Amino acid sequence: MLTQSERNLSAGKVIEYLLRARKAVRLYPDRSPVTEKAVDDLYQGIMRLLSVQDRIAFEIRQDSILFEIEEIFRSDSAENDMAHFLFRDGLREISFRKGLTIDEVLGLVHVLSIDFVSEFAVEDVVTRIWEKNFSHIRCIIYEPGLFDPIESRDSLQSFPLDAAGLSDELKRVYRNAVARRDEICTLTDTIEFTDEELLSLRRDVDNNRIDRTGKVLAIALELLLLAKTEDFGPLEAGMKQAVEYALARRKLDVLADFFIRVKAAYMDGTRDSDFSRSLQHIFSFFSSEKFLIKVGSALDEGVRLDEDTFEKFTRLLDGSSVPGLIRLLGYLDTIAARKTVMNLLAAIGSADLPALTAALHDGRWYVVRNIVIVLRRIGDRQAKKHLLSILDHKDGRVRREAIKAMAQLGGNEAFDLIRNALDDPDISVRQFALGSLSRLEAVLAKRLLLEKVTDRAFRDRDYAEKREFYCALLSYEDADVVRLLGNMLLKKTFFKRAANEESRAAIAHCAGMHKNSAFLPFLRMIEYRGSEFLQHSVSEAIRKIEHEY
Amino acid sequence: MNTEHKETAPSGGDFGVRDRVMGLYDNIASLIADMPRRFASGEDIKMKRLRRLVQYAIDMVEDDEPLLLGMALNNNRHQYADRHPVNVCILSVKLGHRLGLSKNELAELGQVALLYDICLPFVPAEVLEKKGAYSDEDWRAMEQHTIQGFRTLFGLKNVDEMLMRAAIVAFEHHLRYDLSGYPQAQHLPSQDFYTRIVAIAEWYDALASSRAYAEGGRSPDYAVKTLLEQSGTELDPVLVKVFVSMMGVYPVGSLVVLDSGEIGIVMQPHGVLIKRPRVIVISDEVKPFVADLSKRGDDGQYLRTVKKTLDPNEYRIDYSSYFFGRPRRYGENN
Repeated sequence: MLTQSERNLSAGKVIEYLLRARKAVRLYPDRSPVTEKAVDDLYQGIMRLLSVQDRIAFEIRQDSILFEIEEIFRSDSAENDMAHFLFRDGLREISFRKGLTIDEVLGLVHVLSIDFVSEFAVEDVVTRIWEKNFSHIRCIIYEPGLFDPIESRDSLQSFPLDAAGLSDELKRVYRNAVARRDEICTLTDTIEFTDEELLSLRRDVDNNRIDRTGKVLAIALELLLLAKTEDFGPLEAGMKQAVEYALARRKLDVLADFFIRVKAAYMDGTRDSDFSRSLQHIFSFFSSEKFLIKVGSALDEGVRLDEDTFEKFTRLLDGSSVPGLIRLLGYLDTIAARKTVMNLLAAIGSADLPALTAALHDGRWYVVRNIVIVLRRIGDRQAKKHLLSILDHKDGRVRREAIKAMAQLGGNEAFDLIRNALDDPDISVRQFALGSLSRLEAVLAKRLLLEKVTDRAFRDRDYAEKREFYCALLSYEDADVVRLLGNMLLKKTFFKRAANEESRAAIAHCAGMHKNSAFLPFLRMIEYRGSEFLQHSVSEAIRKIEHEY
Repeated sequence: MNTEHKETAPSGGDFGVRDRVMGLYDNIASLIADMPRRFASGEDIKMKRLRRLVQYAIDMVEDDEPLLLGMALNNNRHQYADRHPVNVCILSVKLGHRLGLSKNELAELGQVALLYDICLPFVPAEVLEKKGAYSDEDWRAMEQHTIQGFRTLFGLKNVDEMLMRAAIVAFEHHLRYDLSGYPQAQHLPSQDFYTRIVAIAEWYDALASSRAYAEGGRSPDYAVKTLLEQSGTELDPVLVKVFVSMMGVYPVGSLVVLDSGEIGIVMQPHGVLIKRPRVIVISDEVKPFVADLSKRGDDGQYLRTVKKTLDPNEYRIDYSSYFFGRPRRYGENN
């Protein structure tokens, strides 16, 4: 049995646990160990009190919480101003009863997880508690005047019962009833439902939670379509408000549908010029930077454009939105959002190529790189001369993308570019250039590779890079290549012997990787020669090739 | 109900159930009656208070409190305009509850049902009260209130889900289920679920209210029969069926004459058997008791059946006093 002071202490702990659990719920998911422990502590704290009482109640005052008339909590900061927050909302008591479950406690913590400081909470605490319908948590609310009689009640209300007059009145009822003829109700006793009707009901109820933003936008458009000769200004403002509303709710798919319809109405051309002008104003909002920035925020928050919506966006955006989208690329925080904007630019960017190529001079390397990717995807050869200007960009990531783009766009510049890039001081650029070879014609690419691997300076490159080059060359499966590399396998040098053996080991490795049996005679000839590393590479290659056959 | 309202009645004592129901009903009516003025003047429209009142009304509907429904269905014919939105709210919530909507959906529906016709008072009185056919101008005035309703509700600051739904219902509520009504929308595929619920409640209130009796010569099943007739054109046919099976033929608070010769007040619909509600039998000889008209005798025949109906407002009988003076349930099998 707990003493009064122990009970008060325990009650104080409950409030402490409540604040801790509230904080945990705001920061972590319900299933996280932190939240689970905090909620369990709170639950155990309440259960400790309920072990000796059937019901415990916390009285809420303006700046304090009382338990059995003892103050156990006082608000000391805005963040912890729970008492005032609950009091302001009309809550005067929260009580718990035996049978309380941990899920109910978690539910209550969720209800109380609203930001106490915010003045913009649309849902009040009382509403949230009411919606939860707890079985073992009850609240007392004070909101004056909800049930007060209204002055004019007498005139609203039915005639009061007059006990003395009842008999006379009943007699009058009987008298009139006898005079009335019997009524025949032709309806059947019960209303029958078909399975189909029950299913449609189920569908209606299930769909009731589906967002209605699309409908609001549809109605806003209807208002304009219904308007005859009045001033379109307010209607236009109403539509913009509806668009803003949909944007705030991140309904990009709904907005795409809406603007497609606005565009259709605008293109229809059967209405007068004021009407068309209004629609044009609304439609131009879609391409505006203000709109695009909000779209960008939605994308950053994780909203995705599905295939259908993306296609609609590309139908709605035009060249005028290209500069806005480019600027958006600089603001966006997430890769996914940037990717979507780049996809949009790739789809519509050709309408304003100068804007895109101008962005190649942006100071931010990531913007430039992304524009290069967009230009590559657009595939307009006019972009090549602009790309050439950034081939010496200070950032290797930009150079890499530029090489790839140039290679894809093709032509003599691409060949020269890749040839130069294969000697870039940055190894990642060289590797990228190697990867870009596939975009050139096979004959050209092979020629370029042969040129590089036979260059005297090539043997000074590191083993991994050599391997990449040889493997790239071997992918052509050409007799000339086999002959050349076979001879290189056998070739011994006096100077730079170690580097040469490394090159031979790299060729052996690649021959093994490609399981190219044409190399077997060459490999057999040097099977037990040279350094241990070379021998190992050669025997591995032989094993791989023989294993294949 | 997990929230409880603590307040002292003006008389100094606690509010009784009857006071609470009537007070709540009147406070909703009063708040809604004052809304158009508040909208027009830009004053605070007291949404929080409205929400709270609706929450209590829902609790009463969930508790199957008969007086609330009785007040909605059997009020006198005065101040119909003030009472109509409250009645539509109660009936809508009742139907939503029957359909299994969640508590927050019911709260949303209840508020929507109170707000959707908020711009009706702006229609000129001569149009609203016109007996004959409407001219084109009259129709335009009527159409305007739906458009105005949408714009007013959607134009409020901090539009939330509820106000958005209310705006939709405001626009659609004269559109009819088959979309042949007004405003003549070109691209709306169907009425909103809430619009279809509210439309039934609105029709029923107009039919079952004393106004219908006042026109005289109506059969008791007039209201539900009319609803069923409007199925598929004006109203959603499936929802009408749910509504009729929920409400039964005889509205709560109706004064009925039974084949036993007794007079009773309809207290509660049966829920399935639409002609067999629970009735408070009143007489001078015995204290009032509740009779369940679905009960059968040993011979398999119903013990009591409604034979005639009377307009309760023609008599000085306050049905509400019987709803709260019903401790004697012994009479159920009489």
